Amino acid sequence: MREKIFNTLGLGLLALCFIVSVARILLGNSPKEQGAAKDGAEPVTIRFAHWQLENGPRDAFDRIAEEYTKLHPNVRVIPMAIPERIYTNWLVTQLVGETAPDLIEIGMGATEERVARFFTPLADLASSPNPYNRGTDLEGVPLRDTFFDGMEGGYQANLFQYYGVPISGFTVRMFYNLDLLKTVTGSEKLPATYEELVALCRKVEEYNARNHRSITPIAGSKYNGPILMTRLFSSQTQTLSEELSPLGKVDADAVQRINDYMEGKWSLDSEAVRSGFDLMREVGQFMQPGFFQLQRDDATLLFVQKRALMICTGSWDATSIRQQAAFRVGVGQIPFPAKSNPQFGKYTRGALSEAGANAGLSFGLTRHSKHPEIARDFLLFLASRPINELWSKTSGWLPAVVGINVNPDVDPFLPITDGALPGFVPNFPGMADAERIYTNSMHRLFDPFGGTEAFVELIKPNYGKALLSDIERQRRTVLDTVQRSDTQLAALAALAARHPGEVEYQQRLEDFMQSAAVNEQKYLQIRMLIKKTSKTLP
Amino acid sequence: MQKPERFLKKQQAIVGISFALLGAILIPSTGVAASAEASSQKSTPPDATKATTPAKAVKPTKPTKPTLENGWEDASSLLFNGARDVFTKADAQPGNEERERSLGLAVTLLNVQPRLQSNLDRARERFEALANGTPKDDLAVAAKYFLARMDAFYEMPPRLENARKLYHELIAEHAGNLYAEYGITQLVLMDLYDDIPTEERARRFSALEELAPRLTTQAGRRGYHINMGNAYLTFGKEGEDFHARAIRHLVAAEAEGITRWQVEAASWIAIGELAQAQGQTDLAKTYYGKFLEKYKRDNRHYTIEQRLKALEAPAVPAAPEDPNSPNAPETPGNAENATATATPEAGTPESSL
Repeated sequence: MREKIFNTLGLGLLALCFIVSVARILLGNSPKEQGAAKDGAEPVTIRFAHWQLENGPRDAFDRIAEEYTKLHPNVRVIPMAIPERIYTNWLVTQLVGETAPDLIEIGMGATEERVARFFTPLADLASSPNPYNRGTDLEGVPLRDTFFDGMEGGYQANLFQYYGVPISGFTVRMFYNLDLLKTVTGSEKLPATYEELVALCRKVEEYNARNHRSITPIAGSKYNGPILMTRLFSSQTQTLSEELSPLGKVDADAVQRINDYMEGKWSLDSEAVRSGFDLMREVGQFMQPGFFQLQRDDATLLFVQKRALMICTGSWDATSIRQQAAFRVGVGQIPFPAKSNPQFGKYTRGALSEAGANAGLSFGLTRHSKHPEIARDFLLFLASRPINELWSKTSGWLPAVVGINVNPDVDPFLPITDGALPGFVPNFPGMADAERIYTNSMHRLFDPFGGTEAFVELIKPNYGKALLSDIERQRRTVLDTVQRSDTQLAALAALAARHPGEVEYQQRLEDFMQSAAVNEQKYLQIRMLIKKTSKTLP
Repeated sequence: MQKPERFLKKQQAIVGISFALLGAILIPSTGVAASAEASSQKSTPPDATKATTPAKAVKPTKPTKPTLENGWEDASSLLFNGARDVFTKADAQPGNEERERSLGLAVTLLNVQPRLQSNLDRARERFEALANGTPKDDLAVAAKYFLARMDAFYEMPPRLENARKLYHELIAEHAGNLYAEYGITQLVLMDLYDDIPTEERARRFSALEELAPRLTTQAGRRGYHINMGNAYLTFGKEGEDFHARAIRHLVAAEAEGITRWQVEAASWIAIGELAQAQGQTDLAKTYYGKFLEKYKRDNRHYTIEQRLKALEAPAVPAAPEDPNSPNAPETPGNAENATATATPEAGTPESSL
């Protein structure tokens, strides 16, 4: 009897499932389920994808999606969190398969070619006021001028076009376990200079020796180590960088620095460069042995498990760390060597400026969006001051829009605007071959039996060749940009001619001509450098 | 006894799965939601102060035949393959429209992927036909300009002499034309950024200086002055008066109105530094001040602020040079660099000089 009841119930449920499924497919989602507006507007779903799996941002995105639906009841907004590990593959598959969500965080895997092909230019959006800023002092202000970086975080320089709308700013800080700090030092004072940082690390070592503990002064990994070390290194090349910069160019780029290297104006034996390596080695001694083999999560775990006093990471990790740590977390600026430091003060100009940092977490509109107008509207909503404030307060991340009062938790991450220009690092960003030989040899710098001399001797034979191969790659990339700009010029000129009275078309053409010339100059300088160097290098 | 129990468990599992399935179906899934998106929607700009509903969307209605404008729009957005297709299919009346279509097709062939020699050859054929045919209108000028570009940036090795000749012909015959004038700004770059002896570069600078009066448009003059100013700056050590010339050109460019902020900020800093090095303190103060006022969020702000403060500070007697000073230049004998490294602690830049 019991068997019969269960059989009937099971079959009945299966039949019900079938009927409901058929009904749902035939009728589609009912307006009620989709949250249709009372006035009969048809239901719409907008999706936006990102890789911010850290604690904080996901809650914030959910809140923002809800807020948008409150304002537009027929629109359902679905945030999609995609893990970093698969983001690039996922992105490419979605874009090529034309199944991409309406909005996608641009960055990982979004090459210029993919951005140009699969995303919609947003120049018109950038130059128009954001209607969601109505009632604020940003009312009537062009969207790009409402961001602290002028919306450069969404601008693709080589494509001469805005493709993204950024919503967050980022800085790097030292995080401290305040409880542990008090236990070790009897105080909660954070080190203000590099000298104080070293003194603190030594106190931790003494504390370990006295109490048979094994607290690591600074949690390191191949992710966190370089974050701290590149900044400290560039404090040592500030003066050299100034001296090398030609008159009229206070912040020469990597090509200029490589040119200087090829001309023998600096080398891996330059005192300032060596000093930078010495500084890296010294601070590396305060990280766990073999830290360069460890992952980001290993360092974070070490810190939140109270086995390390400090960790250096970005504002993006702040919420995660605070939520996971069972102790009070202090946040301070990276302590740089003082000018009075007998060993490292000679070449420094002081703390590095963070004023030029661009906003990030930039969302682009995909060309295959089924609802481009609504997706654009949601982008504007996301980038409005009230919603960017909500974003910052909920996520614990920095805002990207100007004039937002941040939470006290976010306050320590506000960019330093009165710092000096950073110097350069020998593994110039984007120079893959130089980076490869540099990273592959890094173990010699931190090896107890190694050091600066051993490290430099290891990379020196291949460093020049690596730079040359990097610069050749750079030449091809910039040439591609220059060639693309020919077709763009013809197009923009034709459009300006077709719309004689419309300022926007004329403006785009004029802006383009100025930017294109900068790229062309860069290309010719690289070509000149390669020609010159090929005569001198074997 | 054993058998019915097993049976019961199976049935419980079936019932459980059925409930789960029912639940999964009843909970709105994104996949099902997506199927409801067939009819596109479009919103009007909403009012932030009150809840509004996006208006009915209209799916962009594409014309049956693409227009030339569609092709140019695609090309401006770097959609070269799409633009090539549009220019191939677009309706165009014989005459100017047909010639514009031909130009559009030729310029997109330059960047259609994959980049093939056959495409470049086809592009060249079309440019030559337009440039050498009649009438000698703006389309012909554009075609000639792109022939110069092909010689300079698409041929391997580049045919720079050909490109140079075409740029000169363009400005001689079509002053005031956008392409002819833009060609001159590119001639400046092509001629000067080359691995040539100092004397040859000086000769080229002089020749290029003579082109200035031929430029009649604001955009042409601006581009020319920016490029000349930057070149004098780059090769500043090759000529005694190069820095003074750089200032003159950059100030002239500014007078024409620089619209791209990166270019403007870089120019103002360059003018300030060059003027400071030339002893033109007032000019340096003016441009440093302009930069500080407009570019508050630039990471060069603090550095320039320090320089301006140093310029405005009353001059102090120069202290004997301490070779161990943190501010002592590492590269000896470069007065310009000493200026660049000067800080308030080291005295004013003038005192460093």
